[in-house]
Amino acid sequence: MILADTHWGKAEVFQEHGIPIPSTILNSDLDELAEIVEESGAERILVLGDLMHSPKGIPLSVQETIEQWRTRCSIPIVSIRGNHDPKVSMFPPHWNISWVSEPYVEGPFCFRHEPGSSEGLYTWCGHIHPVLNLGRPRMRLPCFWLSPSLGVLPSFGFFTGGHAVKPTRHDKVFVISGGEVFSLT
Amino acid sequence: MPPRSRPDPIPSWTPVAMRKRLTAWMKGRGWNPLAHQIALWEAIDKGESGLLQMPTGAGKTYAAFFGLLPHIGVEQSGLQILYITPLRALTRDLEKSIRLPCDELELPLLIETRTGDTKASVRAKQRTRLPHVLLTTPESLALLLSYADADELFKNLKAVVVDEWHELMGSKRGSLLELNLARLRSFNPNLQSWALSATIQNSQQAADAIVGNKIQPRLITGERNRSLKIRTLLPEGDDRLPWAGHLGLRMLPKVLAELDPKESSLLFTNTRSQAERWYEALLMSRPEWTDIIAIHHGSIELKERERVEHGVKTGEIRFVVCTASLDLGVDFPEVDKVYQIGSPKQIARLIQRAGRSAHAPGKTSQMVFIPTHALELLEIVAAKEAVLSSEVEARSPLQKPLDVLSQHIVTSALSKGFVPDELYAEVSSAYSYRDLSREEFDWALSFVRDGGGTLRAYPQYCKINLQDDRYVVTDRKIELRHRQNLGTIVSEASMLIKLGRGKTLGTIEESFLAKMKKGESFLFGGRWLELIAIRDLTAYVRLAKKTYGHVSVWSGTSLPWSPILSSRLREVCGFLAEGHPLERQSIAELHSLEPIIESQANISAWPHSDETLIEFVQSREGTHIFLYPFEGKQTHEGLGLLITTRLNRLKPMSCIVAVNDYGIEIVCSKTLDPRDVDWTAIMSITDWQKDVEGGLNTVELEKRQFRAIARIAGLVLQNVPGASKSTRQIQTSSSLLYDVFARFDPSNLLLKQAHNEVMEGHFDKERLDRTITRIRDGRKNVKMLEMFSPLGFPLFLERTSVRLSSETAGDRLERAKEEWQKAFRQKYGDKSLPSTRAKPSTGTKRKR
Repeated sequence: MILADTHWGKAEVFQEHGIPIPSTILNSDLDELAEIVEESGAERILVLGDLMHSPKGIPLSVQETIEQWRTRCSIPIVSIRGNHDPKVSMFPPHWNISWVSEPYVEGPFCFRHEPGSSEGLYTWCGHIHPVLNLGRPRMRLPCFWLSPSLGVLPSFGFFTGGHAVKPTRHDKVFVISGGEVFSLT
Repeated sequence: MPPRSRPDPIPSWTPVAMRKRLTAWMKGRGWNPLAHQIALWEAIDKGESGLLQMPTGAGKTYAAFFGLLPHIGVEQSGLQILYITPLRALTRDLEKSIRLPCDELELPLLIETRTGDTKASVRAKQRTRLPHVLLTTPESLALLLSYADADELFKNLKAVVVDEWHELMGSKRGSLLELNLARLRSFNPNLQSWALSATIQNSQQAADAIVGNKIQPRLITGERNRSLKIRTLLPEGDDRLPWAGHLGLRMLPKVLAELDPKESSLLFTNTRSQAERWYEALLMSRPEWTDIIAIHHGSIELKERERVEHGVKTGEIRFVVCTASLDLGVDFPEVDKVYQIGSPKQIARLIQRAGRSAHAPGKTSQMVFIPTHALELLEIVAAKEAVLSSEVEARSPLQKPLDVLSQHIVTSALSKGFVPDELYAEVSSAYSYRDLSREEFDWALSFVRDGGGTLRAYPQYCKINLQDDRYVVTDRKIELRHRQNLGTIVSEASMLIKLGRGKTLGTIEESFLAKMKKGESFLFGGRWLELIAIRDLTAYVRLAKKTYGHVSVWSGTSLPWSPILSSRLREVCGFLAEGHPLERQSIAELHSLEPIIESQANISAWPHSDETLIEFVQSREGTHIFLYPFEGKQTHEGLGLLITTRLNRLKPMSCIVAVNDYGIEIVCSKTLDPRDVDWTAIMSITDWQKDVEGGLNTVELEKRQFRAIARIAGLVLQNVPGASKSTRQIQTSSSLLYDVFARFDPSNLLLKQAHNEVMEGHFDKERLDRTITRIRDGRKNVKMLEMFSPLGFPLFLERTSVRLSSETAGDRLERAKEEWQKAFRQKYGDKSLPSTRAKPSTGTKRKR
């Protein structure tokens, strides 16, 4: 399973700065992830960067939440180091999370955190948190944004926010709404 | 005049002697103390607090200042009188007029202003020692009160004067000020507080609000409004006003003929983009006036606005196209005439604007009204009636806004810290918070303490901590950020506009720029600008060669339509229904409207004043129901939702609702027989609120309200251009925050506040309630029409034109009108046909 920009611990960073964002967001994000893993039978998770929100460290409450979650969902996680991620690994080994740096090549694909190209290989990346503004009144829907050589994954999380993108006519866009994915091409 | 050095201590004077000196000074200038001034002085002598209500330009400043001055400062240093105004620009003028007598009488008083514009060095000095008289804004006061030594700074304060209280009262700025006045009263229970206000309907409430809940206020009413002459510019001959629209440029030739450089004039518009259009049109028609005509609105760079204000004073600038930015502020005794383009929407505003001309006691104000569409003539007839009978609107204080309270709690923790019981007592002594329950207070307290949510929801969060028995702020970062974000003024996310690398022209909203591409041009400040680049929240532009493109748009909120205008307009209609002879004072307007008056009577009818007119028209679209409550757009929106919800119960179908200030159009996809609709049942008062909410996804509206709430409660930080990365890391949109709370903390009271603000602020619950009852109990005149009536046609036009691109809207409107005329001719012949001859727009040239 490949996902991007989970930004674990984002709510806590806001809390530290005096803005009360509930920590329960992470529980709900992780529950959802565990469910998808179970349903899909995935054996490994590849995160395209920004697994964590703050490079400074992991607050105790986040550690506890992840610890608890890893007992239910223990498949290996490989994460590309994104701009938000800590520079050194701070995870206990039994979490089974390892870091790689971009570009990370596996099979027919190249994986990155930030957009970039690799000769001959189709590249997948995150970083942008693409959303598409649609209709009136405006709906803001997270989307997969695919250009002929680069695919951008939406951010995975309730509080990860988004950046409105303007696809060109060469692009393919798939928006996510109500648990389903719609092609807009 | 530079402030004198070390004026302490003030030499002793007795109140009686000083009052005599001041009166003598006034008389020396040829001003005799007026009755209300003397009344106020006597009340101040008795130590009372309250409200002085009177029209602008009637000597309020000296009434208050000369009342208080004799009582201050006998050998005392420090702040004695605090003077609060809603606008920075006003403080400068007030300082001048207060200094004048003090200088001439050689009173060694230190008089200073403190606003966001004040130099840092002066502000730093004031932090250790305030002057005797300080002029400031509500936000700067809140900031001063956030310092640890606030009680020291304000301990000698004797009186607070709040100028233009009517402008602040109905807003969150007013609520914040009330809380801060309560704080000042906790330092000195004998503090006198006086509000100065223009005439408003609920003056007693305004007086109650300024003194808080523990003091009986004194209400002094000055002279009546100055006499006001309203004249309407009417189209002549074959030329007729359009049926819909709000730009009014069709009246340009008449306005050009009316403008005379000998008469200094202000031209008020209702929106900034309308001001832009008019300014451009005037410049294009009279290039020789380039130097004597100017534009003034809230997004124009401050320096440029000041240049314009100065130019009006010196007489160099003769005409200013402006918006509400000049509603109050700098005194302009030099202005001879005021123009109002389009509906003023509120009588109080009309009087305020008219008062900008001949701004001195005893003079007659002149206002020239420029209608932008035909039915607006009826509105001005109604407005004239209201002005004649001296009616004005009420401004209601808000009901315990919790976002403002949350901010205030943190401010209180910042200064010396607080004990909850004491702070609750203090806060609930403010008028807006008189009904604040202890539970609500405790929620706000826990919201800033630990997030207010369930256990463990906010482990890292802590804005205030308990130390001994007081709540304080211990984190320096939080302290700093709170001060930076203090206040309740929320502006749209905006960007600076810079001409090349040079001067800043003003600001423009991000949402407008987001729609533009590089190389496209837009009209701003009377110039066509080409967008070169956007970087760091700044839009770089150069002068464009082409003179077409976008007109800058700002998403301001429109003023609600006055309930006084509503009832007066219903009277005017009733009057047309009964065919009474025309009132003398409005004969010209009604005469000009005659074709429309007749065709409305022919096709449908005019509603009597106790009656609601309901029209049914069948078309290819389905059944159109038109209803005319004359209660303004927002009330109609709510009413439209109510009706569609209940019609749907009668017959499931899809409905489209369109509203304007006069009425509602509901288009039903299925054919509806008027006889099947029981209006008494549709207008039943039972559960109306549920049915309005059921008919609409209030989430979008609530999110809009939540933007301001989140900002004020400190959840979203102000977007400061060039902000450091550390704050960027915690930037988020209020809309995402709304979603987060709605899902993870649904009992958050700020969400409830957003909902209440939509119901009360947007739809005006009480007014909607009254309107529903009025329609239910009144007579209903249900008409089955074969074509749209003149009252209904604008609704149809506006609805269908919204969906079209601007390029073709004009053509579509013209075509729709022609079709209507053809139908009219077939039915009624040529006799009373309203002319709708098309005229080329004088505004923006269209792209060819």
